[in-house]
Formats: sequence, structure tokens, C-alpha cells
Amino acid sequence: MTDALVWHRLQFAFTIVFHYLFPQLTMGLAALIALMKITAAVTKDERWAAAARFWIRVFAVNFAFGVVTGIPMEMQFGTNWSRFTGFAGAVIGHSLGMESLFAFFLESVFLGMLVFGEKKLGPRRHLAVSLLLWLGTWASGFFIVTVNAFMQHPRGHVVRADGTLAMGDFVAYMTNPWALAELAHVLSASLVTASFVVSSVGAYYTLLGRHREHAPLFLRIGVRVGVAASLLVAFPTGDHQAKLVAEHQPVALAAMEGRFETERAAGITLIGQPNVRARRLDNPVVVPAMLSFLAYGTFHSDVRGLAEFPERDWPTNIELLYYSFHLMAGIGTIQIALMAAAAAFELRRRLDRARPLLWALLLAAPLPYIATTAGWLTAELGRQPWLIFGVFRTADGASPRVHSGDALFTLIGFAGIYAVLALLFVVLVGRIVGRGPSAEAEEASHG
Amino acid sequence: MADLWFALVCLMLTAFVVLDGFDFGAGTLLYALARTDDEKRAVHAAIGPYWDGNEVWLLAAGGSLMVSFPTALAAGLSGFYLGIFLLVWLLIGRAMSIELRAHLPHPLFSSLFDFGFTASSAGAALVLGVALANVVRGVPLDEGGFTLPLFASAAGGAEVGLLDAFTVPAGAFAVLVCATHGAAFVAWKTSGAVRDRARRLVPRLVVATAVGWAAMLALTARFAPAAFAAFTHRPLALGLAALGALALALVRRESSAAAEAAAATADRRAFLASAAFVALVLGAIFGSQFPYWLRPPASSPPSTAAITVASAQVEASSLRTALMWWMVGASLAVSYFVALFRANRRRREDA
Repeated sequence: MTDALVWHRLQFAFTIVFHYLFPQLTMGLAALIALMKITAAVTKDERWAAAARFWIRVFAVNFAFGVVTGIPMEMQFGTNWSRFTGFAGAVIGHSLGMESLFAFFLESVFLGMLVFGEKKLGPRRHLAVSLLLWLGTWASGFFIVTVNAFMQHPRGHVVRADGTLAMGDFVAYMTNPWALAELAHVLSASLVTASFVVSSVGAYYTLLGRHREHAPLFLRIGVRVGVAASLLVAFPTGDHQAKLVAEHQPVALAAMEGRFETERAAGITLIGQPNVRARRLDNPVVVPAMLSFLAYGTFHSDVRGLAEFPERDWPTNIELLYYSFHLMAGIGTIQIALMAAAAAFELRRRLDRARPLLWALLLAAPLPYIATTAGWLTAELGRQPWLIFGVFRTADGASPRVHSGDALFTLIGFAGIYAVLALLFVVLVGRIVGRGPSAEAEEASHG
Repeated sequence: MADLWFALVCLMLTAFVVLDGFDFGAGTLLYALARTDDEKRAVHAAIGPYWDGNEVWLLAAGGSLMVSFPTALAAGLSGFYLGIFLLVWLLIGRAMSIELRAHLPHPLFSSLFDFGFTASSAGAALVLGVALANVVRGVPLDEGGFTLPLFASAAGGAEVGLLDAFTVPAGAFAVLVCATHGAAFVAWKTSGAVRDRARRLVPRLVVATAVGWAAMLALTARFAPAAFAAFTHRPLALGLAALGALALALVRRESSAAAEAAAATADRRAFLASAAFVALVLGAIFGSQFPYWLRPPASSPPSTAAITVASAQVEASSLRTALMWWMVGASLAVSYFVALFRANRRRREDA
């Protein structure tokens, strides 16, 4: 049984990490496409319309991959986590049901109109469709974040006589403060991903000297949104998220920082290795008092260490949690620096000649994906050993009757299938990028 | 309130099968309906605007089941573990086949994607039919849920399995029903040689469906006596089945008329009759199932647990809240689909 739990967890972790590579671009790109179309409508500049059309082609492929990798996620609530579903389905089912009805239908029906309907609909209605799709993707993000927020910080439920959960206060559940903070952080991060991807393609064309009409537009919108979103993801959204963790999950904060002892005016660790066996952080490089300030707003607050909490409530993998958090924060800092530098050149119209910076933008596309993945690992590993924080343990949530061999079998199956999907995604998007945003490419893609 | 939610979840499952069923059928019959590359593209184009949204009804039904009867969803999905993942993988295969055929035009690999489309469509219909038959026959439940062997003896003894003498024929019947439905859809939504083949195929498939249906009733009486008894004793279930028979006859009449007179309106009527047939048959099945989500199989001792509307329901207040958003959301969804079918009303002339 214990070893089945490992496979259940690993399968969910693997499939959700792979899945989320796609929606993070979908959500951000939906906003950027709408922005491009609005710019096209305002400036009457045909190049912006062509830019939007190019990114709609990428969006469509990315969206399809998000859908096919999303279906397994919905199913796993029942297949692999049946006791969790039995325990909390009456609460989280509200979010999952609403996500299908309010977001998935909207997205799946209007995507076709966005991709194929521009001529038929005309520019105004096509712009409206792009706004609807933006709304749909962000609504989908909101609904699923309410599920995660409930797992992090349960609100709105009541406990039944048999110990399982029922919906108590629907409004409190939907307006969980954790959900609103998390949504802001997640949406900013999705804008970071999309703006890095758009800038990367812009930098690629510029370095190659191809598509000189459209590449500067990609760089302009990518870098401008990129610098704003990179800042937003850190402050105020990331900062706010961290303060919520400090307030409601102090044990998770202690583990994220590899902090075993309580300390007043605690410093923040830039580098170091948690040594759980010896209960200390090896080789730390610390900025004094910063953690107290970031977590609680004053330099002299206490930051509690792991020693203050019973060991059975410690996150189950402190090392991975520590590295994930520091990786996220580190990459987040690099993202701000890179986008700020690029924006400084872009605003003076000198970015197209700054080849080292263009190279950096070209190669930086994976960074937000890594940071986002590390961020989710931080959130979900920090939640352990709870499936619903403080209420329901992860070990109690798995399906009792699913054999470890079955869980391992499907995990390996997903590994194989997703390897093929990853390859296909690269081929499909590579073709679109190779053809570029010119008019001939549009002909070819509809031919 | 819980009874209403049983009906709503069944309604959404029915919407899924009626809508995605024609996609499965069109995929299953791809090689029978289309010979040349252009003809195959016409079949793809016919389902192109719809299949993605159709699939969402499955997720919507799952979400609605979770909010209203979470333990039924938990026991069902975890009990059919391998079957569910097989379905998920087939749906991935279908989506990828459709997308790749559209995005990677290639003289050689297009035929691979066609094969993938057909195999995954027929496979998904088969798995869904098998799953429904397992629910009708019943599963050996206890508090932890249930597990079933993947295979049971085909001799049809007391032994039950995910695939056994009852469920495999039911899966085949589901493929047949979807094929009929898909052919009727393709006849409605295409033109030229593809439409002619579809029109000729529908009446013959209707006969096969009628024969298969009679066989399924006999098998149900033999392997799922409790469900069959409920069916024969309930006027609602019998009435729906009788209307279903009528709808099936109507499919044959209208599709024959369409083939003879080349009348496009008859194509549409045949498709609508086919949709009604699928919905009514499912209605009869769900009507016989009530109030069971998961019932014990005939071979198990009488004390075996069951999951019913009463045992799995959640608080009425929660169901009332869910009904609020459900009504708004379902109305929106239906309006999208009405708009979608209207936007694509014009018959495609590219075949």
C-alpha cells in the first residue's frame, strides 16, 4: 500500500507537470493575442493582425495538447484518489463541474471560430471571439485554482457526522483569499511564459534577419509585457503568496528555507543545502533579517523553525521543496533582469542590434517553464504531508483497491505517450515557426 | 433533489454519447465512407467543428457526478482503473490523429493518422460500451470500492470481469450504434460520393443495430437479471425503449428516402432520428438502473453493498447550490452548441 501511494503521487505529479506546460502558455498567449488584435484594431496596422494570426496558429496547437493532457487529470481524481474524491468531492466537485460548464465549453466551441473564422466573422466579431477565449482560459484557471486553494487553505466546508466534507458556505469557498492570491500569481506567471515565448521567436527571426516586418512587433509586445509580468509575478503576487504561506503554513515556510531552528530577525538563504539528517543547513549564504521582513513585514519577527513542529507534520521531501523554492526565486530574479535590460534597449529602439541580448531572449524561452514547474513543486510539496492542509492526509487519499502494479503500469504508459506528445509538439510548433507570420505561410496552413 | 441530480448526470452522459457518438461513428467508418484523400478530408471536415466540444460533455458529466454523488464517481473510476486509462489513451490517440492529419499533410503518414483515427474511435466506443455494460451487470462492491479481473471466462458462468461474455458483446453493440449514428451524421454533413456511400450504409446499419439490440436484450436477461427485471417492470423504461424502436425505424425510412430522392432534408431527419434513438436507448437503460449507480452482480451474495442515489447523495443544500450554476452553465453550453450547428449549417461542398 505504501508503495502504491508513491506511484499514485508520482503519476499525478508527472502528468500535472507535463499538462501544465501547455495551459500556462494558453492563458498568457490568449491575453497577448487579444492585445495584438486590439492594437491592430486601434492602429489599423495590418502587421499586428498578421502577428495575431501567427500566434493563433501556435495557440491552437498548444491548446490541443493542453486538452489531451488535461483529461487524464480530471480522471485521476476518481481513478487514483478515490478516497480523496469520496472525502471532498462534494466540495471540490463544484469547481470541477463549473470549470467544464463555464470554461471548457466556451473554449472548445470558440477556438474553432478563432482559428478558422476570421474571414467569415469579420474583424470586429473575430476580436470579440479572441476576448471570449481569453476570458475562457482565465476562467478555467480560476476554477482549478479554487480546488488547489481549498487543498492549501480549506474554506467554506463543513464536516459531516461520518467525517467527510460537505459544502457549507459556497461563497466563502469561491472567494477563498488563498485562491485570489494564487490566481494573481498564476496568471502573472502565465503572462511571463507567453511573453518569453513571443520574445524568443521575435529574437530568433531578428537574429536570422527574417520576417523583418513582424519580428519587431513580437519583440515589442513580448518585452513590454514581459517586464511588467516578470515584476508582477514577484511583487506583489509572489510576495503576497509567501506571506500567506508564512501565516497559514509556517511549517512549509520553514522547510522552503531549510530552517530547523526558530530565529528572531531571520535571514533569507540565497544558497545552501538542507541536511535533514543533521537538521541544519549546510554552507548557507544568508542575507540577515530579510526573511523576517519578507514573511511578516518587520525585520525583527520570529520565523519558526521545523523543530517547533511535530515531525509527522513536516513536508515529506524537504530537500526537493527547498531546491524548488530557491530555483523558482532565482529564475524569477533572472527573468526580471533580462526583461528589464531588453526593455531598456527596446524603448530606445536599439534591441534589434543588441545581438547578445537577442541571443539571451532566444534561449530564455524555457526559463519561465522551469520557474513555473518549480513554483508548483514548492506549493504542492510544501502542502505535504497533507492532501487538504490540516484536514486530510495524502496517505489517506489514494484509491485503496488500485494495485501498485496498476498504478505503475499507467505511470509508465503516460511516460511513453507523453514522450511522443512532446516530440510531436516540437515538430508541429517548429513547422509553424519555420513558416513564419508571412501571408504565404497563412495560405499554406489553410491549404 | 438527489433524484433530480441522478437525472441530470444521466442527461449529460446521454448528451456526450449522442454528440461524441457520431464522431466515434464517423471515425469507425472512415474507410467505408471515404476512399480518396479528399474524401477522407471531407469526413474530417464534417466532424471538425464539433468533436472537441462534444468531448467536453464527458468531463462535464464527470464534474456533475462528483458534486452530487462523489462516492459513486470514486468507486466507479477507481474500480474500472485500467479501463478508464484505456479510454483516456484512446481519446488522446483520437485527438492526436485528427490534429496531426490537419497539421502534417504527408502522403505516407496521413494514412497512419487515418488508421489511428479509426482505431481510436472504434476503440473508445467499445470501451464505453463495455463500461456501461459493467455498470448494468453490477460489480462486487465493498466499502473500499471494487476490483474486477480484466478478463473472465467467455463461457458465461458466474464469474464476472471487466471483459466477459456480457460486456464484450455490449461493447461491440456500442460500436455498431455509434457507426449507424456516425453514418447518418456524415450523410447529413457531406456531399458527393461520401454522402452517397453514407446514405447507402445507414439503412443496412439500422438493420444490424435492430438485430444487435434484440441480442443485447436477451443477453441482459441472462447476465443482468436484476436490471432486466427493472426494465420490464417500469413503464418509463419500456416506453422509452418503444419510442427508441420507433426512432430506429424512422432512421431507416428517412435514410432510404434520402438515398432514393437525394433529399438533403431527409438526411437531417435521419440524423435527428438516430440521435433520438441513441438518447432513448440510454434513457431506457438509465431508467432501469435507477436508483443504482453501482449494483451488485447477480452472482454475488445478497448482502453485497451497492451504491445508490440514497447512499451516495450529498446534502440537499449543496445540490441546490450546484443546481444554480448548473442551470446557468448548461444553458450557456446548449446555446454554444446551437450557435455552432447554425454556423456550420451550410452543407460542405468540398467533397
